[in-house]
Amino acid sequence: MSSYLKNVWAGFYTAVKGMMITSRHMFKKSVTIQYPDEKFDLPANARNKLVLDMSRCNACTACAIACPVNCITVEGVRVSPEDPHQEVHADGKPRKVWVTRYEMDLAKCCFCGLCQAACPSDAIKHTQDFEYSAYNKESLYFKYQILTPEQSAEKVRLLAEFKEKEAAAKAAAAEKAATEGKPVAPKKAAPKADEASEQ
Amino acid sequence: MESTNFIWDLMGKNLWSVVAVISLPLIFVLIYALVAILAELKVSAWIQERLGPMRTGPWGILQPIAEVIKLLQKEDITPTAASKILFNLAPYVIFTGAYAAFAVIPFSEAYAPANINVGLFYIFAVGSFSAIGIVMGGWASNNKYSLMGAMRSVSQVISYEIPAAVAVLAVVVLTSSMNMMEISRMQEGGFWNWYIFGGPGGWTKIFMIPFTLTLAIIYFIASLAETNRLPFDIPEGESELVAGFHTEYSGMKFAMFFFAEYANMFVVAAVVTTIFLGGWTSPFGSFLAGAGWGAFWFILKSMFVVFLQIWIRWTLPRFRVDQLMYIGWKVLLPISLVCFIAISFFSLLNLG
Amino acid sequence: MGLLNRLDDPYEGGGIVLGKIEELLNWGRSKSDWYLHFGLACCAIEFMAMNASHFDFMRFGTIPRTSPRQADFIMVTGTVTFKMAERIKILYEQMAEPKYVISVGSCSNSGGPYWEHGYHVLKGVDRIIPVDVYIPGCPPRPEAFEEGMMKLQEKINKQAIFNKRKLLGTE
Repeated sequence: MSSYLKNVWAGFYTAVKGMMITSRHMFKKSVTIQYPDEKFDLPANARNKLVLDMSRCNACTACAIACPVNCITVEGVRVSPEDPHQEVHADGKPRKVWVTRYEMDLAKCCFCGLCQAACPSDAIKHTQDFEYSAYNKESLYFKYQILTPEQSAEKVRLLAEFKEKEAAAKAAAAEKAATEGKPVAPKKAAPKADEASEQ
Repeated sequence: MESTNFIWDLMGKNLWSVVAVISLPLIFVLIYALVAILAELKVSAWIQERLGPMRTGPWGILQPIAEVIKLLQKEDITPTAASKILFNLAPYVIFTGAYAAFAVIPFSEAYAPANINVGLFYIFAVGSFSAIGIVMGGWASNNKYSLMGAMRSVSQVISYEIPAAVAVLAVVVLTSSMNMMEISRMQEGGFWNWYIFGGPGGWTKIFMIPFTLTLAIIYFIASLAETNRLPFDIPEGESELVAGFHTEYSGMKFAMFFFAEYANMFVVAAVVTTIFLGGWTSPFGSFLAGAGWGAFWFILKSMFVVFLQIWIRWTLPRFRVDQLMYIGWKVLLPISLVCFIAISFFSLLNLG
Repeated sequence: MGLLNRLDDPYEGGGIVLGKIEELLNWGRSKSDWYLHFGLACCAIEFMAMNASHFDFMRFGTIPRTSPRQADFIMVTGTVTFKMAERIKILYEQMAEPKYVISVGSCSNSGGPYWEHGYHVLKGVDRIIPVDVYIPGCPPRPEAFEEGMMKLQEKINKQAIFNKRKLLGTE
């Protein structure tokens, strides 16, 4: 009987005590951060939206290889030395490769940061921007380009032309060597041409 | 006998005054339900150190209005396999039960919609109406969760009506009246005359205070169970049964359940106020007493009890079914019987 | 009689009365969204953080409902496996109109890490139910959920109720 009454009292007492605790919290200042008006400071290494700096990217595909979910597609074409349109990277070095296609699907990305670690030129980076939810999935499919499709077709054509020319020159040199009976070191023409265009 | 309904005095007894008398509590229920929904959201938020709805009007005070507008636009689904008549009738039955109880509630000295002499008995009679509505809705939904919720609800209401009735009966023994207006009038003259403190009487009423206090607490606990509020909300236990007896209801029919729950909360709060907290009487004797102030005090006290219900809801977790039955039959019932017998004994000795 | 003429032809557009009513109805629907939470993976953990005190999802007027009948939008948070896809479709069909879907995280947007070789994962929940808002992230920040919610509210606010037929005709 006494344990029964003790139980009843304990039940009542604990309920009242719980209510006292909640009443104490009722008058505390709320800890809510009212999101659109005030924002929580993100840590500096927060990994959110992926952003590519096209002036740095040289289409080395290190990010595409490092990506565990294969959400990055990179295609590049070498800069033809005879191309009249030469460009300089953000760090002052001349651009050697045109990026004809760079696409990343942030609807698949798992925000692991491996591409950021693999990138040799700090082109791809996780930013602190997370406010880019979308009404359709296509707007989460990010396409970066510095060249219009026509321009990139032009670049591809220029390189092909240059390669043809080079091959022709090589063939001519080989013919010449065959006639003179001397072996010619292959691949000499191309670097020379590169250097020439750089200077 | 003086009039207890100012509308009869003003307009006389004709059809229009009857309509006015009927619609006044309805308007009150609708306004009160909006306030209570907002209070529920806000109090729950404050207890958890949150802010609650903030972006609907200033400080989110228009939230319940937005909710009503939204619920009006929702599709009204009647499941194919449901029993259509009962399914569509159930929300209105529940709301009718809650609303009918407002007929005898004495809002003020000058206003009780119907001042009948079996008021408390009437409240218990129509209070059971909601159980019928819940079973109708739960069974007609043709959903196992709904049916289980309805069954749980009925077992709970039946179990907890007994201690509640015994607690009310003890006050009836003291007042020798079931008229809620009379009971309120007997407690006039300050808060020490309330029945939670033993009612009016000489110093000998001190012996009764522990018993009446216990009875008030017991009635309050039992009323929580009757209105299916936490910690007794096993009929709609969201983690076990999807949403209990109103799983299949959508749109305005669900809103009727919502309104009925809040109306029921007010009814039990009004009963607690009337029989234990002095009804419309002023807590300070003749200070701020009068017909208008009576309504003020009544609504203030009732809203405090409603606030208490919300407070408990956001403090305690839900009981298991067997724990619920244990509390009902083995704790509340014996204790309320003991208190009832003690009070009957004291009133035989004319101590009160 | 300009006002009444416009009332006669609600499809004409620009009706003052109907325009205001439409605004009111849309306001009610956008400010009171009850959600059915379908938590499947780690996004659901972030979702808990969003519901808790610091981020307080209820500020937007949302209330969690466990029954699909009473929910206004379903939040799919996590990897949708083929087995779960059936359940999501059933739940979506049980919801009452007007209903919306928010897809949260890479997995439910397009299969996430499993999009290429996952033999068991649905490649995007939009293959079975129409998604209204995609929230990117793996998992997204709690604020990103709230931003998605605001996007959904914007979408609801722009919806046409009375001019629907006309809009359908022009499309």
